[in-house]
Amino acid sequence: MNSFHHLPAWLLNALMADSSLALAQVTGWLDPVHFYPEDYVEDHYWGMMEEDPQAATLYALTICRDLFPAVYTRAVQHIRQGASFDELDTLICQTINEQYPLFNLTTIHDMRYGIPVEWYGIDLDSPEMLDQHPWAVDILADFGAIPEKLRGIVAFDYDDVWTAWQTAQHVVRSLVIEDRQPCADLALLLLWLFSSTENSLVDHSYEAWAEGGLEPLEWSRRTLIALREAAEQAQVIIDGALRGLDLLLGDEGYRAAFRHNIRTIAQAIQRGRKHVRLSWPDGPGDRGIEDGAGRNAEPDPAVLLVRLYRNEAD
Amino acid sequence: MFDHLMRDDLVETLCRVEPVELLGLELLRRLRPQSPGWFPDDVDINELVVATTELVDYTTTCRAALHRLQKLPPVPLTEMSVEEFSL
Repeated sequence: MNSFHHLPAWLLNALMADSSLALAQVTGWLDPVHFYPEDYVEDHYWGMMEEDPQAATLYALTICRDLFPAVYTRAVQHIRQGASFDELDTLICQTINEQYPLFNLTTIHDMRYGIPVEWYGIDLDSPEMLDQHPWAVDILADFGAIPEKLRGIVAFDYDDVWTAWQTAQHVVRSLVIEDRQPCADLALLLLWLFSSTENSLVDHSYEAWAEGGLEPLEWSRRTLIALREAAEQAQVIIDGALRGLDLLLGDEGYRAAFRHNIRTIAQAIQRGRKHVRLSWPDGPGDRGIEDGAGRNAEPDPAVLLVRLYRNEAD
Repeated sequence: MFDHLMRDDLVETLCRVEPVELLGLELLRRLRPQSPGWFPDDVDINELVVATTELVDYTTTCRAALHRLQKLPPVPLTEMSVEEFSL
């Protein structure tokens, strides 16, 4: 009888004494996904119905194991403690979104569609754009592009947008050369409006990305690093563009200067002139150094970013 | 150093490698006797994260080493003549 009572302890000691069995135990405790071969995880997921919680959980755990070890550890322990699917779903999404604030993962079911980043692009040829970005219609009107009703759908004519971009390129070039605010913000606004920032997150909407036949952003370390950089740059662009938009919509004097410069460029293009010097006023908050105003010593992220476009402008 | 190393020698050498002391193993040895269940259930989560990360890295490295060993290229024996196949 005594021997029988001591059997479990003896068995555990024997298991831990053998290095392979000990490793198997600790792997079963901390890293259970290790026992699911990669092929099995893929087959298991793609072979199941889309909303199957078990398949979604296994797929999410596989991704977390590779990329988010802290999330993986917490999720495994939650499962061991009997957490429901909804609790697990919330834990994984919240923790990943906290680590990557620009992600908008709402459920682990969506992880199969790739990394869920925010897309900021404006589709000027989309009829929905008129409702989504009414300010864009207002700005494009300054360039002479007005939405028209074609075959029952109100949208921009492609040729009008193209002509507007030809003018806008010169305006951007002039703003970039100024190398100061608020010109940098205005340049970013126009680059965003015409999808020309060269940042994919800013130049594409999700629909344009998906319909363009481009692959979903795969869950890999390399993509995460690239996305983090792209998202940080996108934030600078969008922040600057929105400040520029506020300026144009809220300051009539600045808007008048903006329109005047657009007309100057358009006339120069018509006359075949290649070099036009534009004058850009200071922003409403700026005062000249001659007034004794203290300038901010911190580099302005928007101005620094716009310098990347300077080579093209020169 | 590895001249004249045969397959059995390689197996013997690999078997002699000391087991890696992983944090997860240490936690299991230390905490399981105090735990009512099969696995310890009251462990600091930060310690578990470190242990899990170390274990995943270790098993990934082992798996990669296994793949490399399975795909060792053949070694041509240029100095050995095989009379049976001479023409």
